[in-house]
Order: sequence, then structure tokens, then C-alpha cells
Amino acid sequence: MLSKKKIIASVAFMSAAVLGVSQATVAQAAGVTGKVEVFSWWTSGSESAALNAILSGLKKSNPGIEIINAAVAGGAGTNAKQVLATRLAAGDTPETWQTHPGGELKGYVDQASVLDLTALYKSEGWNKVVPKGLVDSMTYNGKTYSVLTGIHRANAVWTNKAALRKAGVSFGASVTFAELEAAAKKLKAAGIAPLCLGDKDIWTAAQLLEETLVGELGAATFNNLAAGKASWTDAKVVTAVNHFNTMLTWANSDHKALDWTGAVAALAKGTCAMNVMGDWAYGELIVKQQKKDNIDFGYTVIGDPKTFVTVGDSFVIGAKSKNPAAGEAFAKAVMDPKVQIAFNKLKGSAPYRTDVSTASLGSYQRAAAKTLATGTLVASLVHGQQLVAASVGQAFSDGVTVLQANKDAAAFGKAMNAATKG
Amino acid sequence: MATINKRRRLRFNPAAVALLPSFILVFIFVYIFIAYTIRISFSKNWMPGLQDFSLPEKWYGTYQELFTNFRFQADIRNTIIFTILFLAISVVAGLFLAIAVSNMSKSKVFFRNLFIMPYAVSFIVTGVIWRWIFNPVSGVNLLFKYTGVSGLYEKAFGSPLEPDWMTSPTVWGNVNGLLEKLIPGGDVLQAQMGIPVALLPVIFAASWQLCGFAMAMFLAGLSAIPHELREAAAIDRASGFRYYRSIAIPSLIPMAVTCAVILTSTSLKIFDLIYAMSGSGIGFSTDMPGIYVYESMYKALRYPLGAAASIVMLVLVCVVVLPYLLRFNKGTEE
Repeated sequence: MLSKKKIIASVAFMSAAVLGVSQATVAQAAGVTGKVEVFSWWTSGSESAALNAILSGLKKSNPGIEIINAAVAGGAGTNAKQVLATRLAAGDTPETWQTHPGGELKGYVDQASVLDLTALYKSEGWNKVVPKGLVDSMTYNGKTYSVLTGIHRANAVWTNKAALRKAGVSFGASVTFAELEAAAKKLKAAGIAPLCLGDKDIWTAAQLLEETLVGELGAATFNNLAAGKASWTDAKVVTAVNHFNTMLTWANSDHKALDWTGAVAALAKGTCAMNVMGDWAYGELIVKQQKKDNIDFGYTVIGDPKTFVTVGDSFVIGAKSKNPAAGEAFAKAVMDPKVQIAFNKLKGSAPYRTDVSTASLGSYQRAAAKTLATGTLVASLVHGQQLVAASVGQAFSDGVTVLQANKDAAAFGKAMNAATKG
Repeated sequence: MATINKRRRLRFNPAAVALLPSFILVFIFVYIFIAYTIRISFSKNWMPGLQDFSLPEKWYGTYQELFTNFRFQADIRNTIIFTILFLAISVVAGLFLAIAVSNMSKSKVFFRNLFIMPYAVSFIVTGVIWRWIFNPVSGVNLLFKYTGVSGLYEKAFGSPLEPDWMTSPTVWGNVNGLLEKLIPGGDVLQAQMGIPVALLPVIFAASWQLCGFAMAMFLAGLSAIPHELREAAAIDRASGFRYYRSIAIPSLIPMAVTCAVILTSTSLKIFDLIYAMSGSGIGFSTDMPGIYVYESMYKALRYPLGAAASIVMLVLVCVVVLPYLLRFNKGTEE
């Protein structure tokens, strides 16, 4: 029998669904039946294993469901997004697909392609266990549209402990630009490049600027900047951008010929000392470079150590898909506390539900989960997580590309003002 | 009489019937889609799930934005520089290799395969390998250092030979002042119009990959020259150099044109090599329209802008290919 809550949810659901109304009523205690097509770009090693953790959770709670894993290979969804765009244009909508919360999600909301999950968040009590900053990054005009799988932290400064020791530098839980500058001087004297950078792909340099801005201006100002509510030509912003320009001069001279993994490798080797990178670098350091946390490498944060710049993956439900009820079942599987631990263990990101026990995770992930639950959350603009048009993120990385050539912080500010207000 | 014949031929032409299916497919999947893309490029905010074709305030607004954009200006500059240099190097090197290989006896097959091998490699692989080679810290600069070339250079010019390769932000020969006088409206150029130094290693890598292809075409052209001509030249006591200058190379010109058109269309559409080798580069010094289209559409989700850029790319390709096709048609009619 349907519980009262479920009836309310189903009614809200049906009113939102354009098609598949009859299927929605099939949602019963015994689980959902029919096909569910899960569209993602998780095809490689740990990612596909993590996705399977969700899928097996889904199968367990819905034995009658038929899962179609429609993953398209290509890092960061480069190919998948193209395939999805053509499928949406043709009206061949999958039940659920992977998307970044923020601008990308907003793009789908603008196209009316995704279902409103607000009622589901309320009926399942997800609002109470998901940090508000994260819900906000998936909420547009008061409606919440996706469910998160896990969260990566973008604003970490990874350090090579031996290199720092050699130069006589040590960092606490957080650093200011002045401290970084002093450290850079000592490191240079010791013959070590202060900064590890691999910005063949511009997002790594853009991320360095983002974390500098967040660190020096604070979370609230950064959010206002991204939303076009604060001016990018403000003196404080210009100063922070100029600090970024200074930092670029500290980088390894081959930075433009390396990608982010090359920078992490250089950090592990100790030819450079600090790398501003998301915590996907953690997995790279531990697994590929065989380095030990807190012995070979450490980490700190620019500015407030409680600030957590979030990069998450989420799933939406296709509004025009054949079986949205199965999409809903998938969303529930993603939010299942057990699934969340299993998923994040494999993916290397942090679980975000405040009510799950992180005891079984590694020490870094435990610390990250704690900061995530209690800290100040800022959605990453560079990784498309800010709830602004995706073109703002593109303007930011285009601006950084130009900035590298002309070092003109004022011109960068003007371009960003135009992009955020446009 | 002639018109009746023509009409009959049209009505009962089995070749036309056989070609009809492919004509329909090409018509739909090429020409209809080009028209569709043009329509999107003039829409205000078309998106895959939201087929909104309404026009922006100025119907040409997207194109105006495109051409006044720093990045796209740099892209057009890069495409032109890349195409000219890449074409010159590939065709000249291909010709040289073809002449060298055609004069070999036993080792001919070996070298022919050796030089054409890079053509079989994917652009991604080429890009990654040449990125490593042109790394200013660990790549070819070490070769300069250990062979003493860098030392000699230092003695002559005062600083060691350590080019920045793709990491250089320099643009040679900025002609913005001159161009702004020529372009109506004046102050529209944002990017520096010149030769971006960072583009040179990428051009080199592309030429390395495709000069084998040019060589294969020239080899085919050389083998098509009748033996009698060479024998006659030998009887007239023409030197090897004279034979190539006066007979072989002039007869290779149609082949060179075909080769140039194919290589140009490759270079105008280039994406994967750049993406794997250098990315957009400092100040978009190695960015290309193909990357711009991709990022506008799938990163910035601005489909009209990406569509407009892709139409500009199409026009560029047409400028090169259409005269060739027209000439080719004329040739067959005659």
C-alpha cells in the first residue's frame, strides 16, 4: 500500500512529469519495475566501481528493476555531454544522467529537461541531512533539482614536506599570501620552484586563481562576485588577482607543458614544493606516487581553513523520460547512507550526509567530511558548481588565459564584470 | 533534338537512381544540418531541450560578439598562420622526401613506409609525444645542452639556447596598427595579430605527421610520369636537378594542389592535436576555432555562439575547397 507521504510525493511527482504518469503510480513498497537508463561518464577503474556501488544498491531495493548502464567514456564528460545533447534534442531522454550542480544543472533546468525534486527532498528528509550550502547549489528559484553522489574539495594546497624542510619553511592549517611569499623566497633560495603547476589545460590555473580569491576575499565576497553582485574591478579583487600573477612567477618553468598529474608528479619528486589542487590529487599522491599522508606530503588552505570549496557530481531525473519513477528510485539509491559510504570509499571523495558514520574511511576523507559538515561551503566556479550561467565559468577560464599573457588584472576585472552581468 | 535526348537521359538514367539514396542521405545529414546550424547561430538562446529559435535584438548579434571577441580573433589569426606554415612545410618536405625515396633502389620500400608511418598515428598520440619533446625543462632542450649546441650558442649570443617552445607568450611581428587602418571601424582588434611563437612547435608536430601523406601523393605523381620523358631528358644530357626542375616538378603541380586542399581542410578543422599537445596556450596563442566551438557549446552551453563559430569555420573551408572543385569540374567538362 502507498503511505500518505508517498502519495503526496507521487502526486507532486506526477504534476511535474510530462510523460510516464502511469508508471509513477507503480512505485510501491516492493520497489520500482521497468527500465532505468543511467547516463554517466564513469567508465574508468575507480569511477565505474563507484557507480556500480550505486547500481547494486538500486537493484537491492528494487529487485524488479532493469538497469541500463549507459556510460560514455571520456574524462570530465567531454564525450558524454555531446551524446546527451543530441539525445535530448531528439527527445530520447534517459531516466537519469550525471551533471555538475551549478551552471550545468541550471542549463538543464532552463531547458525544462529535469524534474523538480523538492517534494522528494522534503518527504525523504534530505534537507535535514545535506548541508545547506550544497542544497543551495542544486536549488534554482526555490526548487531543488538533483542528488549528489559525493563531494571533492578544490581548495587544498598540497606541500612536499621534504622540500619545505630543506628550505626551512613550515605551514600551519592555513596560510596567508604574505606567508606564501616569504616561503617562496626561501624555496627559491634553496633552488626549489615554490609552486607546482601544470596548466596545459587552463582549469588548473583558473583553480589557482579561484582559491586565491576565495582565500583572500572570503566565501561571501566570492559568491557575490560570481553572481555579479560585487565588482571584479574592486581594489581588493585587483590585489588578489595580482597576487595570482605573482604566484605564476613561482611556478615550474615547464608548467604550460604539463597537465595536473604532471604537476602532482613534480610535487611528489620535490622539484617544486606546493600545488593548489583539488583532493583528487590525494588519490594520485597515495596510489600512483606511493607517497604517505602527513609524512611525505601535507596540506594547508589559503585563508580560512574552515572554508571548503566544493566540487560535486550529481544526478538529475529526465522530465521527458519514459520511466521517471525508476529515476526517482535511482535518486533514493544515491542518497542511501550505505551507498554513500561505499561510493565515496571507491571514488575518493567525501560523503556529505551529516548522519553517516565516516569511521571506515581514511584519515584525509574523515577530516574532509568533518569540514564539509561544519565549515563554510563555497561552490567552485571553475568546476561549474556555482549556480550561475555556465558561460560565466567559461569567461573566468578565458580571462585567466588572457591574464597569463598580459598580467592585466583591471582588464580581467572588466571582462568578468561584463560576463557576470550579461 | 539535343534537348529531347537530354530529357530522356535524365528520365532513364540508372546511375541517377543508384545514387539517389546516398544523395538523399547526404542532403539530409549534411545540407539540412548546415542550414539547421545556421538557423541556430542566428537564434538568441537555442538549447537542445528547448528549441527556441527567436532572434536576438540584433539579428547578427552573435556574429558581432564573435568577431569582437579576443579569443576568436586569436583563433582566426592562429588558423591562418597555422595553415600557411603547416602547408608550406608539409608540401616542401613531402616533395623532398618523395624525390629522395623515388631515387632509392633497395631501401625504397623501407623508407617509404618509415616516412608514411606517422600518418597512421592518431593526432592525440602525436600531441602527447610532442608535448613531452617540447617540454622546456625535460625535452629537446636537454639535447641542446648535452650536445654542446647550447654552449656554443651562449658563446655567440650570451645566453644559453633554451627556447620556451609552447610556453612562450611572445607574438612576433604585431601588425595591429596596419590592420586597424584597413578594417573599417578602426579599433576592433583585441588580440595581437602576428605569429605566436608557441604555435611553431605545434605546426612542426602537425607537419611531421602529415608530410608522409604529402610524400605518398608526390610518389604516386612521380611514378605516373612516363619513363620515356626521363630517358629523353637523359639523352638530352639534362642533369638530375634539371630534370626535376623542368619536367618532374611542373608535372606534379596538380598533385600539389590536391594535396594542399586536403591538408588545408585538415588544418582548418584541427582540434585533437592542439587539445592534446598545448591546449589553448598562454593568451590563446595556440587556440583554434574547433576548440572554441567545442567549449562554447559544451562548456559555456552557448549553442548559438558555437554554431556561429562553426559556420565561420565552414566558410573558411569553402573558400579553399570551392575554387578547387570549380576548377576540377571545368577540367572534366573540357
